[in-house]
Amino acid sequence: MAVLIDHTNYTQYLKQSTQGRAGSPDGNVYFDTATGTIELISVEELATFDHTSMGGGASDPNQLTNADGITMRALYLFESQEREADETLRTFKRGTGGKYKGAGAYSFINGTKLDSTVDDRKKIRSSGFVEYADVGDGETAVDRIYHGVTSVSNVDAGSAPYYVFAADDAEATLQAATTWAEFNRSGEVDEVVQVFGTTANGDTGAGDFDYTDDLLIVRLRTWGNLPDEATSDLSKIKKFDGFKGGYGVRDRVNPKNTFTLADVYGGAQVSPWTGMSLEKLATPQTETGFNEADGDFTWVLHNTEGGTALECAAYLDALAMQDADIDVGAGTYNGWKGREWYVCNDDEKVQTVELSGEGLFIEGLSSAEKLNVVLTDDAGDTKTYPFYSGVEINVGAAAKGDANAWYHVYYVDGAAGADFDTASAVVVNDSGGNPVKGVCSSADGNNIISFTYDYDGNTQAGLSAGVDKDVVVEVESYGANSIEPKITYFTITRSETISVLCDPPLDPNA
Amino acid sequence: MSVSSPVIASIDGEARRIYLNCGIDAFDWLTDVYAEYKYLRTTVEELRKWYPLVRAKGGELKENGERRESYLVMIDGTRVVPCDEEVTLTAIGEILTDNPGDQYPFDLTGLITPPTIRLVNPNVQVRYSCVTSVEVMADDIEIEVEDAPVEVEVDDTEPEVEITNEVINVEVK
Repeated sequence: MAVLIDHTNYTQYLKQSTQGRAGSPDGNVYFDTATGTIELISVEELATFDHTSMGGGASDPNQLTNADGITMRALYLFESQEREADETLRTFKRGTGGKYKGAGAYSFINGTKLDSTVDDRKKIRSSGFVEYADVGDGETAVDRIYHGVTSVSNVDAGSAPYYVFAADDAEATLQAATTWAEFNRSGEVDEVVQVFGTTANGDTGAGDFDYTDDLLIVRLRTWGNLPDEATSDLSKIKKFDGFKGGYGVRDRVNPKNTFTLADVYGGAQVSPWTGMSLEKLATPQTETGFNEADGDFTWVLHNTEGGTALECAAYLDALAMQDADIDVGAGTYNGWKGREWYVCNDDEKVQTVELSGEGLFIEGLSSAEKLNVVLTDDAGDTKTYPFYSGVEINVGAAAKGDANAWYHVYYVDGAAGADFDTASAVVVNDSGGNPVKGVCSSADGNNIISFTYDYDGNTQAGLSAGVDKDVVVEVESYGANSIEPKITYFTITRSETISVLCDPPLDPNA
Repeated sequence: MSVSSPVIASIDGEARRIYLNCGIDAFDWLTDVYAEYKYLRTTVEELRKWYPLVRAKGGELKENGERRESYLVMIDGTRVVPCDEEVTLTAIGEILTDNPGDQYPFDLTGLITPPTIRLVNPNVQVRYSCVTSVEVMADDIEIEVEDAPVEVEVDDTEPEVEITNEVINVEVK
């Protein structure tokens, strides 16, 4: 079983090879004194070697793997061990140095490099390091700096964490940044990323850049999990150097997203996601009907097939994973580099996010689903919908089939005598302010007449908003083969669905 | 129904009164009053504010293919007010109120020249009561008298019952 080679086990698992990877290596560390490079020869290149000198077998497996790697502390101690035993090696300058072992702060000195032909730097774990040029004392002129990035919470093995260096975390900055990259390995993060490079000292592969004063953002966006993000600011790292830092990015299951990605996004989309698209409007649109004041929104999620709040959230999850333009409008917006579009708030509602003065509105939600969202407008103000009770009156097949049949809903007991069975009776209005009356033939295929009621806002008949209301529905008709008159009393409560039965039979006396 | 020549002149939901047109000498409780009432509730939305004034009962198909006897029930004090004219008004069919203590379906108060009203039930079985409670059956006629003795002659012919607002007459031909 492969292990991380560190200061506790390096004596068992590391062996100096007499030849490099280009030849016939017989150990997993090769000090190439001719070129000033150190080769870390992993099991992928050398499956076994003779471990008898370290107390093992003659053909034990190579424990150095690409996945588990080696710490700089182990390599540093191993070089010291070898230089003690190998006098020939002493004739050359040391290759590794250490600054502060607890922080994983090490260095390659005197121009020494890890072999770049297979990029052995990717095998370094739980460490950072500086590569010094072979000039002067060999520990002053810097060629490269690698910062060790370590996740300190769970990251699923299949997740692909990624990062960016940027001057700040402004949305425009991140959209324009060119340093976005996935980490070399999936799952938990434990590898080095280059934060400085200069070719001034002859290291032609070092590049010329300096991110040491930048912000490092580490992200996780895995389907079915909550998105997460950690930054060097949050880790209190204000300047990068050759040390490691812990980042609190982690995977957590998103219990609200149980959908299949292929259904939600891509060529095999199914309804309602086939009716969804995200657009940044040239001019913010004003939305109304909230408990609060009207709001302006720059971003809008079109939802033409009536997806639920959670289905909309799943679509936004999918968009946030796309390293591509996700804006169907005139502009360009990269989803992978972009914002998290929503959060699940304490009430477990989908709350859209405002960023850079741009909020997100979700269209096409049903009355019931509107209660499951909080929308944040361009000003950062949250908008909620009033509670609409949903009333479903089953008028029955006979009434639906009777062309003359009608329904009418009244308050039973209004204030100041505005009661049913008086001249002051008040017709109930729906949430749109329309009286609840009409013909039964308009019922749906299940003979249901449905309407929504502004429970928190309706003050008709002198009754207070936000309280239960007793109402009555009449279903009647006339003529030959018409229905019997029927009357049903019920109460409008703070419920998403109130089922009422008022289903008269055919009138045997008509 | 008789929409083209309606018997109902108007409905006062608050007073629960159904006013009849003048010039009518006969009407049927179901095919006229009930049918027109349903039509008016459909076409005049103001009338829907009121709890239903009448209800038809019976009429269901029996196993032998015949329909059960139908009758109209006046709900919650509803009464019919005929036109104030001196005519004989024949009301056809069975009529009940939902007040066992007051089964008379008409309100004649305030009429100066109230019509003579004949309640005619073409059905075999008729039940109603006014001053006196009367039951007349085809094969087994029973008469219950509360306030005064009544003499009744019975033969096998179809019974016909007539009641006015002044004197109770039960004639069996």
